[in-house]
Amino acid sequence: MSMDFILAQTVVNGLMVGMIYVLMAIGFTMVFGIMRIVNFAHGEFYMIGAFLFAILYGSNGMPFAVSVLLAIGATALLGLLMERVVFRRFRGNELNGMIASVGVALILQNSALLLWGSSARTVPPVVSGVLSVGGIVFPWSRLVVIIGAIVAVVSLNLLIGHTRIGRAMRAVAQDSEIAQVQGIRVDVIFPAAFVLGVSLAAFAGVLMAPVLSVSPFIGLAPTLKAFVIVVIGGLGSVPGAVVGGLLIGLIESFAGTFVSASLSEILQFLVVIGVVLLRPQGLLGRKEREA
Amino acid sequence: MSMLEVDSLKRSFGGLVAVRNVSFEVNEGDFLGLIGPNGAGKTTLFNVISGVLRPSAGTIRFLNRNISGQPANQTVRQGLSRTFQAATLYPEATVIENVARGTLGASLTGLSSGFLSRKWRVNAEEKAYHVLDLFGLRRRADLKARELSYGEQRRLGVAIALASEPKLLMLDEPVAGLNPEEAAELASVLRRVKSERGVTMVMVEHHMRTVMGLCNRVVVLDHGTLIADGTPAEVVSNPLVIEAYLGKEAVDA
Amino acid sequence: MNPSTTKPMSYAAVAVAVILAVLLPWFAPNQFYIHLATVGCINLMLVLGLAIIARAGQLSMGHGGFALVGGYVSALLSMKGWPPLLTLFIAGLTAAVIAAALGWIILRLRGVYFVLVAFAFSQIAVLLALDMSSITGGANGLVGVPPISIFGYVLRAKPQFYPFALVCALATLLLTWLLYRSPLGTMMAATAENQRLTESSGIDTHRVQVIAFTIGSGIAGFAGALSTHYLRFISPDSYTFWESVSYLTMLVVGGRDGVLGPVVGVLVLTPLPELLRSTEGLQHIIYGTMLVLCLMFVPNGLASLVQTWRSRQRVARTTTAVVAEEVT
Repeated sequence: MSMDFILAQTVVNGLMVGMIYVLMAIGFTMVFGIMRIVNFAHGEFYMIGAFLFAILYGSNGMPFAVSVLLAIGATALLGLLMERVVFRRFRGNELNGMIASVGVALILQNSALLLWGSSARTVPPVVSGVLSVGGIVFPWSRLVVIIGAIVAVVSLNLLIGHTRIGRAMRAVAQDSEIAQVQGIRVDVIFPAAFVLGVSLAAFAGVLMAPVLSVSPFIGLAPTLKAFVIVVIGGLGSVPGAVVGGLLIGLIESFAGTFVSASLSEILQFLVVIGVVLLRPQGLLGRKEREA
Repeated sequence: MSMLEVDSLKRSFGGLVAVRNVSFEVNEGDFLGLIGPNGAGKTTLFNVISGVLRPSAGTIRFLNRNISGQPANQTVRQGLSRTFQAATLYPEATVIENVARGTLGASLTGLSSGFLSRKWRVNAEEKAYHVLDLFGLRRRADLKARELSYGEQRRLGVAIALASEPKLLMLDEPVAGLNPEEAAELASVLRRVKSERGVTMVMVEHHMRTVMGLCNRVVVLDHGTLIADGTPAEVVSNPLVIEAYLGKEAVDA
Repeated sequence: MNPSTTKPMSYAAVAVAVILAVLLPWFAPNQFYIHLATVGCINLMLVLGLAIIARAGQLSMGHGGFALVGGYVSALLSMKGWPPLLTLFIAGLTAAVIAAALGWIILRLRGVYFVLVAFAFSQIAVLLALDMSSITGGANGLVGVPPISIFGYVLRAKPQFYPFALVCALATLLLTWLLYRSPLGTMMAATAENQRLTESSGIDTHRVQVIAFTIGSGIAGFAGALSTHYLRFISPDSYTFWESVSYLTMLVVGGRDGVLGPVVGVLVLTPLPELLRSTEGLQHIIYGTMLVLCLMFVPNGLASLVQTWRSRQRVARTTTAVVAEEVT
């Protein structure tokens, strides 16, 4: 294998993992920015999205598009239910909201374990073949993940930037009291933001299911990653999540290929400590207003 | 004797200058009123002096010591306490506990003491009861702070600040949101505190009657600049002040 | 609970509970109950450590990480021939030093960042344990950790180990109680309730929180080491994120104020995993459900039910007194 080939694969892998992290981090940071809840259950929605897709597409052989829509839709419904029953009671109460989300994570993960068992499932590839550019080959299975994630991020950006509900979300994220005074219905915005965040996580799970294997335990790592990325990029910042996600994805891929996976984790931890020390508002975050 | 010297103090947020080049002194025994129209920079000035915000330029000297940019907790231990605008207290703790907590910073020699002996608590509560007496809250000592009326909560806020035994007490709009009776009651409490404890005070206040009734000196801030400094009578007749502040209010009224 | 109002009744209740705990080996039907009680003692120490951190207004999601560090430190040193009784304390100290360093960096920042860095730290600790396999034995962990011996008396079997664990747990409980009553403990509670006001009372709240984090994590390190010498084994799986979560559950379900909460939480939740060992998933679902339900309906924990009842009596008395005073 040539060095070029390895480098190209490493970059593609880094971008793929990075884009998945971007999707996770955006949903995570949206829920925090709008509801002020650190959602430790975020990765469990990723897991459930991946599982549903694996069952629908992999085991039951349903058409691809139908499987994707059903998997995301069902996860979004579950998210709505969780928002109704649990999360809405804790918005604004950062500490208890965070603890409650840990409880939800426990419930979701272990319900999946009881329902679907602990063994890992594989999903047949959605696409096969390679893209050859100047003698370097890229597997389509991975490129599809990157493209899918980019499409999701771009559409989300359009949604936030150019629709009424998107503007309302931004207003609530800035100051929910003022938004309320301006007539924005916070009781609609909160569940909408939560469901949107959960759907992004489910979509990330769907994208990753054919590339990695699916088990009830795959949710925690992306939650931690989302958390790390959000701190690096800036809490509440979507561009920050994109930059942070790609950075972490590439660190992981390069360190994992050329040194070791644990070193990459330690490196990421050091990056977090460094950012927290030198630029606590995150690379692209705004400084919190002083009291 | 000058207790607090504010010299060419400046504070900006990004490009916005909230306080520009403000200098004044507070003498021992003063009851200084700090007034000015909304957005004049009073609260910012207050926060910079008490160490909640760092100054962008200029110095603050308290008892001949430079305290500019020093953390708030240190400033308090040197004898400069403040209150907050909203009722700031420990809602779930009892009233006596609220004030006892206020005594801790000033009276302790270290964090490692008081593990076996209960003497520190007896002392703290004894001091706290004295303060409660002064504020007419002794009967409420065993209630939780959140169970008090709003007026009592505001008084408790000042009591907590006084518990740290300050030489200079800075009050941030102490009567805002109180009804006339509650405001009058707080004013008389402040007068009593001043005469019994000999505490020098600085007060940011909108309520002109309270300021004129309590303060011996008034400084006026407008658009972040100091425009007047004198006795209440002098300040009220100052044309600049009338234009900037009292004039508008007179027109509105 | 205000310590100064502790009544003789409470002292009697504490005495009865301690006597029952001491006598347990005599009336326990079999060794399993002694094992359960030992695990309970270790859990109590871990939950108390977490409670001390929470007392100052912080939440540590990396508590298991400090237990893991403590476990490995004590295991490795004692396998080199150091006396376990000494290495237990070195383990606690190591965890405390790491916590102090981390806390100094991260506690100046908002609570959310603190949670992340503590969480990430515990993940790193697990990874290091896995990765440095020449020292830590990798995924297999360390087997054959020496038992604790006190002046030549070796704590090998369960009935021998339990009294030692009980002494450690009671000592931790006593220390925590003393801490809560001390000026430092009062400052911790004040910081948690209103950090800005506490700062304005002349207290360096950052320092108070770092100290709380250091003490709490140090206790976790000690307890992790204690558990390692009890089980004679430690591996990266001994303290994962989900262990941290279970301590948090015990704390929240039992109650975050005072020392009674952790005791209640440990008593209620320690037997559960042991009884439901065959269905681990179900056990976690019950944990999660209890966590969420408690936060919704008894946010101050089961122990607060007792305190609410007490304070109702207190308020009733005070109001009557005030009314009487105002009437006369």
